This record gives sequence, structure tokens and C-alpha cells, in this order.
Amino acid sequence: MNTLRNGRIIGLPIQFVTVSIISIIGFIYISGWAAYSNVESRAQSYSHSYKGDSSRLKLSSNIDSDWPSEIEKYNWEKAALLVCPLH
Amino acid sequence: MTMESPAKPRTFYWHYAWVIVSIAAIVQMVGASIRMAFGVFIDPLSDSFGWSQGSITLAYAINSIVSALFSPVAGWTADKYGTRKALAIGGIIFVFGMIVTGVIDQLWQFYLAFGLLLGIAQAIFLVPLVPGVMRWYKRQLGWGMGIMMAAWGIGPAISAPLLGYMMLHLDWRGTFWATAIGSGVIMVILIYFYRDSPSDIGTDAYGALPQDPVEEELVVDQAMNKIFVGHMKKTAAYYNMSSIHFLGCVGHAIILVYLIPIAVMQGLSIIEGAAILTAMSAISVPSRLLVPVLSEKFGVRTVMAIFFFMQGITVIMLYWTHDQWMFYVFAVVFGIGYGGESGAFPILNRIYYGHAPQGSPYGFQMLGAGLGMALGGWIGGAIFDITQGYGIALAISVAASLVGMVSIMFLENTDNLLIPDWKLKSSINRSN
Repeated sequence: MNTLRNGRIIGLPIQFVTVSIISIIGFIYISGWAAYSNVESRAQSYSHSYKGDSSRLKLSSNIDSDWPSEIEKYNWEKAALLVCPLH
Repeated sequence: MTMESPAKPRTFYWHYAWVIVSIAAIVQMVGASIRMAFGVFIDPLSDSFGWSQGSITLAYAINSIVSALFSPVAGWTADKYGTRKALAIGGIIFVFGMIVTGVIDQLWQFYLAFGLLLGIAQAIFLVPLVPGVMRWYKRQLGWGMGIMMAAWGIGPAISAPLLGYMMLHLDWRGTFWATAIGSGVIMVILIYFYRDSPSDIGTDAYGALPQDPVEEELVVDQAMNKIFVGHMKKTAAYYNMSSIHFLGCVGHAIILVYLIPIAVMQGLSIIEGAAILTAMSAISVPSRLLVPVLSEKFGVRTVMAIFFFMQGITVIMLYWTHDQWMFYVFAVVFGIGYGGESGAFPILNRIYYGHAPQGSPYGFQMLGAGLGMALGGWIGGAIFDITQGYGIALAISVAASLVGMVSIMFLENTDNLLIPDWKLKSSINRSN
């Protein structure tokens, strides 16, 4: 109890650091998840509309350069996918 | 020989402090209403422009982040130039931001006008007024704070149905312009009557007694302020209160922003959803009014922890809320917890830090609050775009409030000032 109340990490209270770290991790994860979902959704939409080839739906780190601009990643999506190690 | 007994403070009497707190309440009602009633805009903007929920609520998040980042600056501005001048600046930015928001037709323009301009105005409206009102009260601060915090609930209670009605009859551009004109007129009148401190009209703070030590009066002195903030940053409460405010705001921002879309998803209309938000905000008013008073009587940490718990646990109801009457039941029980969640922070500041300058430290706490509002406001839209539902967002709301409750239990004891001798240290440092 006293450790939680008075303990410090790099000069900041443990509670504050814990809440900050968990929030940042959560934000990064959900941003990455949202970006992945958006890009995949656009890829599926394109494939259904133009190709009808579901084998190309899989999102990879190296999206085929032939894909039209609709399924390119927005800047925030690129940043979110870059920062999130799980997406 | 008779000993003269010291004068006892009267509880209630006429004082210009009540005018000041009324002005602060109305300013906060105006400032908070647009953001707190943001849920009204989500579906109409989505229908008008085809923007996704995540894109629209990103404007809310930007608004909250800008407001949060600008909060310490707003606090500093008020400490340096006075609350009245800060309000004038905030009023001009607010009216300009509302007018510009009414002419946008691109998403980035919406982010710039609603997110950036109104975010700055919001910070100026919310931050300087709390320490500004505190300056007017020597005693009975709880009532002053309670009235002001109640305004945060009254604002959206009035504005949600009003904005919904205006959007039906004026379209959404007309709604922003009409609100800009109305708010501008109100702000000019309020700023005219606002005064920075009791000495501006040749009086003492409310409840001040002849035997009160003179040195307890607040002195806005930049050198002392800087030294005080230095001492304050060494206390754990300075940081923990900010993170607790953050958690509480994550908890209720999700509900404030997505309650209307959740109700619409269950088959209710926007007006019906807005009415539920109104009920929730109205119910929060008595809580806001009473929490500072209850805090002074029963202990701030206990009261805060109870209201955080109520705010968190009641959100679980939304998992099985489908009918209109059930939404109203939720609005009542959540409104009590939500209203009480934030009302005690100024009291906690006073207990921990006494009559020291509070602008900058309160700004840091509002930074945490603003980031919480941003995260909570954005996260529901992002999760909705992924899952087409709000279940995960509601779980995050519950968790944030409950973790906040636990954090409150670990705050420092409230029996004594945390920096009792800061003025002495300041004097020594200045003389050196």
C-alpha cells in the first residue's frame, strides 16, 4: 500500500506511470486494430467490386503496388500500423 | 475585564462572489454545451457528408486534446493577465470558431474549426474560472464550486435538445451560426460584470473575517507562483489527481458521446436520444451541486470514490438496455455518478495546497481530463468502425471508472496541507 502511494519510477508516482503506460499501450493497440480493419475492409470492398478474387484479400505488410489508391493506407493508418507491434 | 470573542463566519449572505460564481457557471454552460452535446451531431454529419463515426468523433478527440494541451497555457494566462482578460480572449475565439465551423465542407476543415479553435476556447472557459472563483471564497467554497460544477450538467441538459431542435429547423450550419451570435452576446454581458478579485471592488473574499491572517490571502505573484509549482510537482497528488481525472473522463466521455448513437441503434430517434442525454445531464446537476459540500463533510476521497464507482458500475446496464424507459433508468443512475465524479477536484486542491495560486496546477489536472475526454470520445467511434457495436467501448468505460476509484483510495491523506511551508520557502528563496 505504501509502495503504491509513495513509490516512484523515474521521479514520477507509480500510479501515474501505470495509468499512463496502460493508456498509451491501449491507444496504440486500438489505433493499430482500427487501421488494420479499415485497410482490410477497403481491400475486401475493392476485391469484391473489381476482382472477385478473395485470395488477394489478405493484408500484408507489402501491399501490391497494382492496388488502386482506394486501398492504400492513409497516413494515420500507416503510423498506427507502424507503431503497433501486434497489427 | 471581558475578553472579546472572535467573530464567527456567517453561512449565507449577499456578496458579489455569488455574481462571480453565476457568471462562471453560465460561461461554463456555454463553453461545455457544444462538446458535451456532441452526440447530437454524429448521425446528421454522417448522413450529410458520408463521414464515418471514427472520422467525426476524431474532431471531438482533437477538440479535447487541444483543450487539454492548452489548459496549462490557459491557467498561466489567467494567472498572469487575470481571468477577465482570459475570458475575453476565449469568447472571441469561441465565436469565431463557431462561425467557421458553420462554413466547413471538408473533414480537415471540421477538425481545424471544431477541433482546434473551439478546443482552445474550451480550455480558456474551463480552466481559469475555477481558480478565479476560488479567489472569491474564503469560506463556503463548496457551495461556490457546487454551483459552478452544476453548470456543466445544466449546459448539455439545455443544449442537447436545443441543438437537436435547431438542426431540424435551421440545418446544421445555421445551428452553429445562431449559437455563435447568441453566445457572443452572452459573453460580452458576462465579461462586463466579471471581476478578477474581491479587491477590484474594494471588498474581502466571501466569509473572510477580521481575525483571518492576512498572509493567507491569495497573492498572484509570478515568482511565488513559479516556486509554488516547483514544490507542488514534488507531491504525488499533483500527478495522481491528473491521472484520476483522466480515468474519470474516459469513463463518462464514452457515454456522453455515444449514448445518442447507442439509443438510435436501438431504434430511438435523435430527438429521443437527445432527451435521454438531457435527462442524464439534468440528473447530474444535484450531484455536482452537492458533491463539494458532501466532500467537506464526509471526506473528499470517500465521496469521490463512491461516485467513481457509481459512474462505472451503472454502465453495465447498457448491455441489456433496449427500450426507451430503460435508457431513462440508466440516465438517472449514471447521471448521479457522473455528476459527482468531477465536482470534488477543486476541493481536493484546496485541501492539499491551501490558498496557493491554483491556475497552473489546475491546468495540469485539466490536461489529464482533456486527454481522457479525447480518448473516450474517439475510442467508441474507432471500435464501432471495427466491430459495428459499442460493447468493448462500454467495457473500457467501466474499467476506467473503477480503476479511477482504486487510484483515489491511494491518494495522500487529506488531514494536512501537502506543502504547508511553501510561502516560507518562497520568501527565503526570494530574499536570496
